[in-house]
Amino acid sequence: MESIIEVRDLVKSFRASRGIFRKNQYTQVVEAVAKVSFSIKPKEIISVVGESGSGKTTLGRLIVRLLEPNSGKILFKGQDIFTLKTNDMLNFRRNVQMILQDPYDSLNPLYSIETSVVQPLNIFMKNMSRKTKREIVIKNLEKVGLNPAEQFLQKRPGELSGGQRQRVSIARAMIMDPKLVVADEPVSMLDASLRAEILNKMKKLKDTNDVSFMFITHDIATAKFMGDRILIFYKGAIVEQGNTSAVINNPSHPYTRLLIDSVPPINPEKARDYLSFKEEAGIEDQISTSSAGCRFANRCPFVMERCRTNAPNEVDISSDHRVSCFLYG
Amino acid sequence: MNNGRVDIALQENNAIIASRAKRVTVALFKSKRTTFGVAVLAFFLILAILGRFIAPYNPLIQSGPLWSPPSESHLFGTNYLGQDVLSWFIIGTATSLWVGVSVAFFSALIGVSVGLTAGYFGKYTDEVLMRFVDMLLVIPAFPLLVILSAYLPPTTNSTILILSVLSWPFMSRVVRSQVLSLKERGFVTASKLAGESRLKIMFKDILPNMLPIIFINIIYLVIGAIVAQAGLAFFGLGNINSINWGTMLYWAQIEDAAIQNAWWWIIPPGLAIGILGLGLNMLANGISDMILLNQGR
Repeated sequence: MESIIEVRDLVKSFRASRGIFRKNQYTQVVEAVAKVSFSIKPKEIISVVGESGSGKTTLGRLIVRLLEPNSGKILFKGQDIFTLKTNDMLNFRRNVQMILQDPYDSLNPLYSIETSVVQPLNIFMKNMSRKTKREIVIKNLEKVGLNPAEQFLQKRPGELSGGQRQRVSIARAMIMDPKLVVADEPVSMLDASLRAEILNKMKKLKDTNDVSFMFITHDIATAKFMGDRILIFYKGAIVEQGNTSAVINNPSHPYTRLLIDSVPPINPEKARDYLSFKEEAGIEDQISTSSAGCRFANRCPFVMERCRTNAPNEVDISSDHRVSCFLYG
Repeated sequence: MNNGRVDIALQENNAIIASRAKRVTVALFKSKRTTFGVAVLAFFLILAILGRFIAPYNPLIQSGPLWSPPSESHLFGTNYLGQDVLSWFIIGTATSLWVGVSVAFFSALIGVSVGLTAGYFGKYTDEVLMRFVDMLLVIPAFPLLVILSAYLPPTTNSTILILSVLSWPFMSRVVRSQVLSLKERGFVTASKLAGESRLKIMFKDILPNMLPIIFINIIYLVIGAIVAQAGLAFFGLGNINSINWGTMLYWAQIEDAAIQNAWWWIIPPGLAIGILGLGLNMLANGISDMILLNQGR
């Protein structure tokens, strides 16, 4: 299958201080995304798992071109998205959407739900009658479980709960039938009881709308629930990627093992392995500054001499499971 | 989807919109502060608009004995020319308010445009505009006002011009900071993702969300302009022949009203400036409280 999005050697770094008069002074350069390559296939949910500050949101924002990279390419239908001009760019916007993390912030508080959701139609379907637009809005609101949709049309975001708002955001992202939706921690701001419902809605949309999701999360349990494939992200680099069951059942990178061991079990007495992974250096240098060697070396219990000087290459564990670690060659 | 459902939805919508307008009005009169502010504003607006019909005498002709204290025929007494002080006061309200409102309008216009441009385009545009604003902000305003007034023809319009030119920088700073923070909000990102043009994001997402804050600052501009105009007029700058609260104080001072014990000539304009300022201030504070409460929802 041809992939929809292909990410090649993507690099994005930030300077810690800004301002036109300060450019030449000493600035710390933070590499949020460092030489990342992967691809997303049609009708696939790919989960990106990483801790806060690992650059996973930056990666998501690069894929929808909210940010420009320092180097590297993202190919959409064979074209680098960072070279797209007005009309092609609009077409790209139509096909690649994003669900933002904070549902309390992602809807304009002044506009009704209808005005917010209909916005893409106003941009892409200029000749459509108001009535047709309204019907499409209603259909999409019902698809994400806002029933009866008519009652929500004229409400302001302030009159809705967080879960309802996030569903409105999803409806808005889905209204143009995009090929890829980047979901940036869409359930992290929601009550635990609502999460499963939203996640199930998204899984269902994948089947009904033929859409791929890139699901960004810090929670490997959610990632396992959602993803066909998993990317483990650490300090701006992919340390392990592959088929969800392969990665979860046979976690190969020490960081992946740490993540899986850190999931609190429902039954703590039975889980002897909980937090069995010993931290060597703690979380002292969380910011991913560029350095030679493996980025996980400071925290890794299996650290070797060459880990500190050379960066490991990706190694195939099985057909759809790759890991960047010297333990495997 | 049948049409009946859509029509019913439309009807319900109108009801929701009507109830929303009602809610804002109720909220405005719920707090004592905003009620007081609205009442004060309404009182002076009526004086300003209907002043010509309310004023008991022509303020420019002698209508009683000189320096007479308040009496039944002259509620606020008369001045050194035997002119009715109440009529002066009522007619003067219009000019004072007019100066306040037009200065607020023009400086809001300049301030919002500059602030939007600086905040939105950022980088060098921002740097250049804001350094210019800094320059205007550090210039001691009142001496400059005095100098400019001395050079321009003494008309009310030049007073409006001078005050407008000098009072917009603060507004532009407020607007710029609002743009900078609103630019990073999720709904702006969402509009960007939807493919909306930058200009539309500016005027549909960013500007409407700062209207309450712009409105509050306009109120402060009105107060500032009225006080500044009165101050200029008191020093004999601007049009001393026009009738307003400032010129009332000017003539009272020139003709030694204090020595004549003519308190009735000094107190009305002074008190009016104070009360109007207080009322507008309360209105502005009340509105900003309402915004804060709304943000909590």
